[in-house]
Amino acid sequence: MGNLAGTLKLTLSPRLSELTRIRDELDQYLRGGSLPDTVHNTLLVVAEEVLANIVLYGFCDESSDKIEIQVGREDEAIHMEFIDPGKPFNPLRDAGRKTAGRLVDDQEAGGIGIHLIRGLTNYQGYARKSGRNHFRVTKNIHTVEVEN
Amino acid sequence: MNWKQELIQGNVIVFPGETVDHENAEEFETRLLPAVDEAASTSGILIIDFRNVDYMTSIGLRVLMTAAKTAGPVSVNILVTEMNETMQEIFKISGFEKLFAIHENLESALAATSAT
Repeated sequence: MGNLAGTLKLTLSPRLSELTRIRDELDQYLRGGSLPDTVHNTLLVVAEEVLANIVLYGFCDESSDKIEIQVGREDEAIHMEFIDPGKPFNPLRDAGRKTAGRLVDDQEAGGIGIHLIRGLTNYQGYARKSGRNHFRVTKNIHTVEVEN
Repeated sequence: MNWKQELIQGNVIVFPGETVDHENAEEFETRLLPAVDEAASTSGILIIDFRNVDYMTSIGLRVLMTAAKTAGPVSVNILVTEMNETMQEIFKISGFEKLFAIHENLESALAATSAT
């Protein structure tokens, strides 16, 4: 099995237009790990969902703030951590709060993104540290078969 | 976006040619909704073949939701086929397996339309 080259560290401005570059860089990094296709693809999905939530519903200043992403492998899992300097914002819990008054479709779309983040990863955690939001997800590389 | 559209046995079949995410969701919508209209004027069946789609993010799923809402009033039945493991998981998590009839491959979807 291939090895992922160290930890991937990326920064982006809180704009949707940055998502393409981030996707491509993350995709290239993950290819080095010879991961199962499902793991590779779901990590790309989760990254877009988390970043879109932070950009659309978080509190980053588009002109000055930067979102940081750190991706790495530890044992048999891939970890992704998203760090931003905005006001307290948990992408899983707070993404829907700014959609009050918007069309039902937008709220439904926001809800789908949260379901995907939860359903496609094995662990999600949020912490507020030193004035920054830290949102971390973990995806196991192999599915554990449970024998009954 | 790469896109192929065919009429097979009177049914509209669309083949999105790539992953659907923030970058091309708008184009996916401009391609898919007219296909719903075309299906309404033919057999009433629209099949979306996902063989070339590695994954779809929620913005793409939103387009599918719009297509489903558009299809209902014009009596179009939407079937989906050839989903890889990631797409199946996405559909299951998002509840979309309840919105669309899922078939393993195009042949079985066409067979199902012939049976109705």
